Amino acid sequence: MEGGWALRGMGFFASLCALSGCASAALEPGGEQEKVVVVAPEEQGLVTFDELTAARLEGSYEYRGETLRFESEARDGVYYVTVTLRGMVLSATLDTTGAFDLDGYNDADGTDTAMTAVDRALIHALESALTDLYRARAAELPALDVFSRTLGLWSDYPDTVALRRMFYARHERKGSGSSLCDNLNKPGQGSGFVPRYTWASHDCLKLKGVFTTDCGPLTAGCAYGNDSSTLDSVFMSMHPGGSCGDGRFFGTSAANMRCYEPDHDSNVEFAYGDCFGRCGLGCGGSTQFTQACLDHDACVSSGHWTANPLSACDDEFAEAAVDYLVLSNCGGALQIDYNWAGSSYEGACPASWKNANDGCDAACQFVDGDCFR
Amino acid sequence: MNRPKAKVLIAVFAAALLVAGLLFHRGSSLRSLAVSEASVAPAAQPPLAAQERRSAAAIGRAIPLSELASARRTREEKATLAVESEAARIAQREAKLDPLPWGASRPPPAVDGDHAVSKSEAALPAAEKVRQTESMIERLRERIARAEQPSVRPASLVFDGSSRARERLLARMKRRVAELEQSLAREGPGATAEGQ
Repeated sequence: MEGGWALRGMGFFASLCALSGCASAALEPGGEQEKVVVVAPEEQGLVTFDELTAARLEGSYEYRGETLRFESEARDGVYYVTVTLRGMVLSATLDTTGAFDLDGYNDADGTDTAMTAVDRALIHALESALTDLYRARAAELPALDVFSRTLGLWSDYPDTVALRRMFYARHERKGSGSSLCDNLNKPGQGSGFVPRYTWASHDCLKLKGVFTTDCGPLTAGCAYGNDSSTLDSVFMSMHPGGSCGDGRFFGTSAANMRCYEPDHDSNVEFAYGDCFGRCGLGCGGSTQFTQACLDHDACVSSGHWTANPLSACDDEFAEAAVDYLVLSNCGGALQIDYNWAGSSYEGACPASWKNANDGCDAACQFVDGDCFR
Repeated sequence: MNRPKAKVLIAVFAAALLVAGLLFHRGSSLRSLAVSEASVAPAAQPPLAAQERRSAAAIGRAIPLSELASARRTREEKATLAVESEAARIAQREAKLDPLPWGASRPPPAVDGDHAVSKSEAALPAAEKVRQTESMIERLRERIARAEQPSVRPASLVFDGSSRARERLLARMKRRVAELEQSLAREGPGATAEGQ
């Protein structure tokens, strides 16, 4: 059966990449079992699957001289995921209730350790590398679906939260109760593109003055919903990021956004990019968008960061964590024709490219309606 | 022309002016929006040029037909530029990753003293929390039992299949089961089942 999966995977990717130049997969003779090899787009490493079936996958990922090894197993609604990287073992056990238990420890002696920025970068790179495979096959490969979602969770995991922890399923919001799929901007919104904006906020210890109610002393810093800790108009989509630290674009209007990280600026109300609102670090395969994940993104992208020593966004992470693994995907993958991130056009596209029916332009100072026709 | 007729005509003329004014006002405000909010879709299938013109107009920014040819030309130019931007993007990504401490040894565990509890977890009924914890204990026991079966291939046994790696993972899972059981026994309903 494994060979069958692999063959079908190869056919898909061969045709997909001929069209779009995305990730590619190929078969490699591997003795009794054929391997599936995925070359990540934009030189982001090489994934090799020794096994890739609905019930189980196993393989490795090579990037920047590091090797990450992984397994994922699906058995009657229960999932086991194990990853080793940089001398650390990460383990996840997912129950049918929607609750899950995580663990992480030193591979050498079994003692506790913590997540680091390098770990997150490597895990996120793997999730990114698997994006095209996920979108093509995750619906038929539960082991792959849960594996990619778990990578998304670990890629956002703060240094300051213990790796050994149980996360409980939401009692009141199982299913799609907290999903923001209806607010997600995705292709097919028609030639009359109507942007959908969503409100996001967070609380933290940021103090903006002594005599103010906006992130003031009465609330011991920013309260959830304060002007300076709130973005009124987040444009959620599977839009890629820019080249700045967080990869997100912010502005005071929908026409002047640029890639930078504002620090609780009450004038900044518009934001988009790097899959803002997705459960997971930046863009990746799975497409859950929820209020908790959006609030977490708004927190880490607005003057805080994932490894913040003040742990400002840990409560947002704890709130969002269960959404990464439990909720249904929203879909909404974009076909980007021109990604200007990293170029001189980033945040400075000619105005004539906007909504001009000339292909989807990404990473501009505006959101191009052509991406959502 | 009698006076009532003139009044009607004047009223009709005024109404027409009002409607025209409203329409004009709406159109100009749409154009002034940074992101258009019009939503007019073509009903039939006109020729391509007309389609492009109509859809462009529908999103609030009309493109004259004379500009469409140049727009098509720029697609090729843009494609060339976009390829160049990919190379720059890769270089920038790697430059961002370079300063990270790739060679650093593993850090100690997070203190997690101020354990962040989510609002949804805090609102979880005690009985539901107990149910989920008990179910998780069962899942972990199943995973341990499965891992201990010599006939089962080394699933979730940390890859190299070495006995030491296997023992470490099993020991961690067993310890976790004990922690969850203790938290249930110690605190009863409403117990939290956090690590350490």
